[in-house]
Amino acid sequence: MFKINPEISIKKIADEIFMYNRQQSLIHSFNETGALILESIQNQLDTEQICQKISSEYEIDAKTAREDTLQFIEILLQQKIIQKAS
Amino acid sequence: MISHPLIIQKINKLADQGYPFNGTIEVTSRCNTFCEYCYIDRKVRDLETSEIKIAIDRLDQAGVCTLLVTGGEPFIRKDILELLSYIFKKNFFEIYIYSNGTLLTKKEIDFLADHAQLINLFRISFFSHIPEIHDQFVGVPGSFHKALHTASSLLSSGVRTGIMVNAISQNLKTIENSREYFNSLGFRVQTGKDKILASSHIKECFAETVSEEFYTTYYKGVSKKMVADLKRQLSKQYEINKESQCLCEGLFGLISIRSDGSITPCLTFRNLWLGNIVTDKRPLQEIYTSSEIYQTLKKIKRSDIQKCKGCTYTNICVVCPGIMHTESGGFSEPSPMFCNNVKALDNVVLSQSS
Repeated sequence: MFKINPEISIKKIADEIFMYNRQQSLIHSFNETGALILESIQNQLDTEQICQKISSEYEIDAKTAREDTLQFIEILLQQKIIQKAS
Repeated sequence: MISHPLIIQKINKLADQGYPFNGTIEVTSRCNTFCEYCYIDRKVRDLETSEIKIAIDRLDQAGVCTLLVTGGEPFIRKDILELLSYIFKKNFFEIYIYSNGTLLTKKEIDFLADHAQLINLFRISFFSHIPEIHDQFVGVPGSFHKALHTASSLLSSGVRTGIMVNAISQNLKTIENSREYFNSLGFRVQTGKDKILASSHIKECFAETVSEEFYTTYYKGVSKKMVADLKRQLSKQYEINKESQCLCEGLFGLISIRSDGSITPCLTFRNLWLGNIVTDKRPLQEIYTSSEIYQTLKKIKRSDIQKCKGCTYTNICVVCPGIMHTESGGFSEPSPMFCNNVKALDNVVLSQSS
């Protein structure tokens, strides 16, 4: 399970998601899929649940959904947008 | 600061749909100093505390991500700390506060220090590093020392504190010394030379400060580093002007609220209103997209400005539509400030070898 870094502010404007990392003074933006993964993390879904959600939402096979989701989660971790929930 | 082209592209796309990304709120039109060139109309009423909170809610809900709190002098309001607390609890990404720095006591400084992480910049205006020049211009003896005390206290409390020195006749030849002085104290220093000559009286009094001669003297005094920065900016502006005919690249991502709740596209528009954020209950997006003036504004191109036709500087010139509209009431005549500024830039800055 992951959680959003408390230093991050999130704003949804129309269909776009913007995130601001106060520590780094950086603004990130995400596409629809990225936004769905982030919302899922916010809603405390675990990795498996998120992969299933992506797979069913975009009608892609479970393997591809899993690979893409894990890759994106890795980027979020590297950018310190999310952290492992204790 | 937003610099990534993809994010700017997204912000522009949202702005086109009526979602402003950057907001300004003038929490008061009142001020305890008397800077003669100030564009604020002090007769405009101030919103009540509860009304400002409504305005803040609406800006937050409309998607405004960066907020500038200014005035008048924000700290003239007795409820300013309540309002700032309210703003800090909202979901703004970046918060900027502009002040003259003379009304803050230990209570306000301690409050700001407690929220230092949420303030991207607390900016205080000075007109010189020489106390007499500053005090004479703002019309209140002792202002320099009060403002400097505030600035130093904020800085030592961990608040990101900046100093703005705007060029006027009285400081023109010493403005670089002011920059060095405030820099040496550890402040981020910005110098400026743009003015909004919002009334015929101000135009008359400050005509000299928007002359080619004034800008020539200004640019002759800037440091080599600043010359290099200006050249970079001009090169960037050249690319922008080559790509787009739009009058102002940032305009459509902005919203500005005056002290009485009037909505303007940007604080530079002093006599153009799109609605009122408190009394007009429609979503801000609708106020923007349904405004005839706003839609007209979006269609105006640099090539539509009659006076600019045939000008050799159009490839590097910046023409602020807000200042143009405030000063001339329309979009056919750019402020002399822009014409004289670009001529001086060409003569002084571009002629210098790197």
